[in-house]
Amino acid sequence: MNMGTRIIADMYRDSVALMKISSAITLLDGVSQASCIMATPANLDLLREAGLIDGDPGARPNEVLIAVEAETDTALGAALDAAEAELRADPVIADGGGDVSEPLRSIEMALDANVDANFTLIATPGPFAAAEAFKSVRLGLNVMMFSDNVSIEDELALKTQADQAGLMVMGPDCGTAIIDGSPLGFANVVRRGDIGIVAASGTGLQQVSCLIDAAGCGVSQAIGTGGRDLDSRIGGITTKRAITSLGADPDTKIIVLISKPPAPDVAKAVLEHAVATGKPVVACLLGHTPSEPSLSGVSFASTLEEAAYLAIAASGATGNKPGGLIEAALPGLNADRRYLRALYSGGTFCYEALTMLGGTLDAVYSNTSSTGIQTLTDPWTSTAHTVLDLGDDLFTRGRPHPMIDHRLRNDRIVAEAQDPDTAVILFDVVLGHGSHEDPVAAMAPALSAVPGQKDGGPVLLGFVCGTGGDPQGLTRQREAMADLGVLVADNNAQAVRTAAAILESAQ
Amino acid sequence: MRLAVTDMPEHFPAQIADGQTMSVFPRVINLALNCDRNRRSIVTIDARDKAPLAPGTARLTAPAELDFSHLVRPGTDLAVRGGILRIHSADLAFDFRGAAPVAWEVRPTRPKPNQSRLSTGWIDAWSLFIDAPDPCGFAAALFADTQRSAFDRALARRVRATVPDFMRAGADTSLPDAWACLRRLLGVGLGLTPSGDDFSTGFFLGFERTSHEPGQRDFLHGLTRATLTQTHDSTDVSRACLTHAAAGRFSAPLTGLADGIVRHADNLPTRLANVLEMGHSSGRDAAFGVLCGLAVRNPDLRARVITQLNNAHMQEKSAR
Amino acid sequence: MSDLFGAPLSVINVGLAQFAEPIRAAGANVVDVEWAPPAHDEDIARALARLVNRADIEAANQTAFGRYLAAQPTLKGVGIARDVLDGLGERMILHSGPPITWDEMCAPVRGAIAGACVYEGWAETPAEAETLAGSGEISFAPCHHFGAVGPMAGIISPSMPLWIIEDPVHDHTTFSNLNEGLGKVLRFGANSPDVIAHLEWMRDVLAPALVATLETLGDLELKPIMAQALHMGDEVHNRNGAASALLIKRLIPAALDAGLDAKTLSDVVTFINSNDHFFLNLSMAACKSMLDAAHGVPGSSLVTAMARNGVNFGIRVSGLGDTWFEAPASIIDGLFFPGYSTADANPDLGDSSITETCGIGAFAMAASPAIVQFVGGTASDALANSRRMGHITFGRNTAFTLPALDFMATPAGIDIRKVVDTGIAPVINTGIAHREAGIGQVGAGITHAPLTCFSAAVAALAETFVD
Repeated sequence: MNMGTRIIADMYRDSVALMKISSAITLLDGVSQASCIMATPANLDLLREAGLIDGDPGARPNEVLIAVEAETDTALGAALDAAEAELRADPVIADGGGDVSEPLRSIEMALDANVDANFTLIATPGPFAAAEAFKSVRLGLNVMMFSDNVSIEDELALKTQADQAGLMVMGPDCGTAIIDGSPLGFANVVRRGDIGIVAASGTGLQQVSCLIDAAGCGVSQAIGTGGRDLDSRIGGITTKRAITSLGADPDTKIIVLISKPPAPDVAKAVLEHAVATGKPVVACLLGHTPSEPSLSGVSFASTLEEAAYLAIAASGATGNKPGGLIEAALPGLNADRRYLRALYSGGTFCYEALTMLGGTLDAVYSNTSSTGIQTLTDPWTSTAHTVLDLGDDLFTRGRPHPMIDHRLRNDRIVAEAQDPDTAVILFDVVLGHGSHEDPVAAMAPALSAVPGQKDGGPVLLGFVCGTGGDPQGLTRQREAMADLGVLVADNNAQAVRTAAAILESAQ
Repeated sequence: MRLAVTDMPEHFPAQIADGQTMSVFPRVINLALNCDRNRRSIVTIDARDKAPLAPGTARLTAPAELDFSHLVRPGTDLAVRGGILRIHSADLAFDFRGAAPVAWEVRPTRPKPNQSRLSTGWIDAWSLFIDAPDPCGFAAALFADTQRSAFDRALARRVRATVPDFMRAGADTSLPDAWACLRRLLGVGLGLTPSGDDFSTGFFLGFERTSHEPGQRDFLHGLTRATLTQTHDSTDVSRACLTHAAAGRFSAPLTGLADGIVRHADNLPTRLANVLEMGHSSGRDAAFGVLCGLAVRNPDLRARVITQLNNAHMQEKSAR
Repeated sequence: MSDLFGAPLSVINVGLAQFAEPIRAAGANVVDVEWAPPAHDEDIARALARLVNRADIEAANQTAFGRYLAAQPTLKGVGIARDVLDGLGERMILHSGPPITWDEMCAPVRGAIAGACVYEGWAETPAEAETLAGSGEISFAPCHHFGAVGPMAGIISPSMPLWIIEDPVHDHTTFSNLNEGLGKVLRFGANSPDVIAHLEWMRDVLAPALVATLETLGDLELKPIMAQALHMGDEVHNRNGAASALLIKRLIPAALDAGLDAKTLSDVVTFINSNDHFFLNLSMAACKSMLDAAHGVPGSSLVTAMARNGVNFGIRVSGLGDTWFEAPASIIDGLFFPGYSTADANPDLGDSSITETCGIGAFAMAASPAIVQFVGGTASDALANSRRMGHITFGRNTAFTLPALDFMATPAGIDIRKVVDTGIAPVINTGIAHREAGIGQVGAGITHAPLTCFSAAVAALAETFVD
């Protein structure tokens, strides 16, 4: 006699079905005994008693065990196959079979077709984006709104409804995030690690996550909240929820908060919320003077560079110490050239530069407002020290963002170079998904048109916000910049300090 | 097709959860929900006409012709979002938002039963149970030559050898002896809920209805606690059922039968039929358990069960 | 790896397809929505967002849909309009579709009204009848306002015989006129003396014979006949051959026992037998019966009528009372009879789209793949249409199943929210009338309900909710 067993995992059949199969197999030619059971230890015990199995067949309670005793090996194999085929027989599902794919035309339809969806990424024209976000929240989905032009009333209603439903709304105007290792929107390819980021600023999030990556550390989650989340009207609803999530996340050891200056009461509430997680907190609230000395456990950073440095240190690695200048010798300048012209595509870089320069240089002009900064009457023409956010609506109306389309900035570089007062042209290059596929190549025509310093031209000074994993390649972009005669800084803060040092040395 | 759930288990995660369908029947689906990363709960969706209230069960009304087994495969992913449970690639969803959460009331004490009424009620129920056609599961052990396979024969031997000792141990409230028997019954038998598990559920209920002394209560408590330590040796669905039973939560047909016997209700045939309808052999096994549990401390009733089992054994032996 | 939302990230990407690729590359699940602005209107989009997945609407729809499924339309008999329609005026004519004035009506409807005036003896000639109809002495109303439906022009005048359909479950009665057969017929606007004579024969011979026959036969439940016909190649709107045959099978033995004289029996049987669409009007009245059961549930977003008057297409919604939401009726592209083209076609006409509203007709196209010949499609297009409609309906009618889709039930209960959210318009099988009165049917085709009806209804439904 030959005995054999077969195990079918995750198969739940009621006793009628199992009895039917057992009986059917027993009737096959050459089969003397057969049993089909849920493989509980007690049942295996009975099968041993019945002499149908020896020892432990290695089956678990949620598995079906087929045990057969037959006259020949062939009959045994055939019986086991027949029993398995019968168990695995697909139920007849009344769907007509075949390809039933239909383009998904609404969020609800997409959810019906992908029942485990838990997140919508919305990048529709603004007026419709709020509607799609409200739908998502109603359907029980978390939301990232890439779209802007959403009213603050809608934002508050959305975030409140989401919060009540245990959901998170990132945005509106949330350009970037990294959730569970997936880059969303304009995001860099950052290695995973133990630093969690909550940012009300897209480029701020990108800069810090890229510097963390460069130091060999990684990011657990990077959550964008939208620029207005820390406005007193919103009260940091998303920031608080994100902090709670990171607090509960076993993979997050350090929490980094990044924002432009928040409403003071909101800043206090958010920081207290972060401290309550019991995890080390790094707060980079640009332009915000810490007035919360009692908050132990919070390290305040005045620049994105410093925020990354503190987070890296908390993570147990050593990053580049903040405060340094470019290692290369600073170039001399034609004495007539006196002014900085900073042309940013990233809004937070512009803001960070203004906070750094506000107390250092006289007469700094910009298209965005900050303490000690004067507003340009005509943003299309620079005056004295000019620091521009070229991603401002003013410049992007009717054309793509300068991270994607470099023409506007190229024209401005050429114009600044022709201004005999221009001493330093400072610019950012942002890599990552969604950005231009080869930004330095796109800027090359303008950069190479700027006269070199030995020909009396201005200093070209830039930095790249990106990682080695980004599709554009961090090293390749940096080298291409150097080849075009650009002084390449590690990050924005270093670039700004270097610019200030060059201007100082020229005086 | 979206169906509205009428009532649901008290702690159903109605906002957000993921899971899989486990077993699918024409009007019933068992599903597993991952409430969080470490906890899985088993929920039964019951669309049968006049489905009884049962622990862990969400009930609903569905169009008469609807057959779940033609819409959903077992092992299919599902998710709850915003109160709607959707099943992947199946045109079937359940709306839990209007469902009333059912809090399970476990009454701590009951009036002591009238012994003579219990006794006559039990004898009526027992003869109805014995006469029900096509005995299966544990009940098959009550009759000679009803077993077709070696496994069935081994199961019958186990029942005939263990149940009498189990009942005697119960009468003596001897926990070690009772547990030694019960552990040989748990997880035994075919199907999603092995016969031994259904039998135990019934037994707990029957025993509970006749226990009033603290010693008896302690015995039952000890037995259910011991059972919970062994549920990992059974299927997921059965584990969920046993957990409810151990906590004193029983389905309405089962309590209907036990209470009907205790007060010798007129409609015992209906009450028994309601229990026998549950699953294939599950109802039969649970009813057997209820009868055994109620008979434990009445020597006459207990003897009837034991005699029936012994006779079946002797009959088979002499035939051979 | 930890999951921020308690489960692996699974993304629905709306708006920018390029965002999906990095997510996919990172190993997360992502699907793209082919997004278009709902109704191309911000206000509608916002109104819709307030209605999606509302528990109170879902509950209302559950109630409405339950009533629709429970309805049991039963043929009770035949009666004369003035006797059976409550409130029908002595000089009133009912027409198909939403309300319309004489001045706005299309030619086939005017022709049919003129014919009805002659038939009623209110005028001697069609020309005289047109003058009378334009004078304001005749009042007009939609069939739907009287619980009735009629194909094409859908004309019901006081002395016309009507089918009487009762739903005992909801104690509600619906009606439709009797099908005149093919060729020159009133419903396409023909009104010559032979058309009138045929109507008179229907009133004087056919109707009494049917009354006698149905008295012998007793009550006849219509859903089983429709369900069986779906299994025999009908979709019970534009193809009724099987359903008509099944009906005749029931009627003839009863007619033989009804004591009719030989000549009447022969004429009646010959007439019924010659018309494959004989069942259509019963199908429509049965659909009206099921949908009336679903109408009037506050908060429900289910469509309970779609109807066309040859100028406008209108819908009614369960939770929005008797309001019609209208848009211009479209010209149908389809298969034209030899010698005719789109240029000859009248815009969409008739109450027969009540069948699609009810989950049959084009919604059950999978049952009747031959229908797609009208638009040069393939059998798989028919299956796809039935499947696609499942994305805009609340549920499925388990009484009506589709063999070609493994007996999947037909999608039913059109939800205005889903129509606007997906932009998928309800599909309709329909005959095409000549734009001039009296020429008749010039083709048949497949068309779609105009989306603007649905977006207007969404806006109106949103107004009924304060939050």
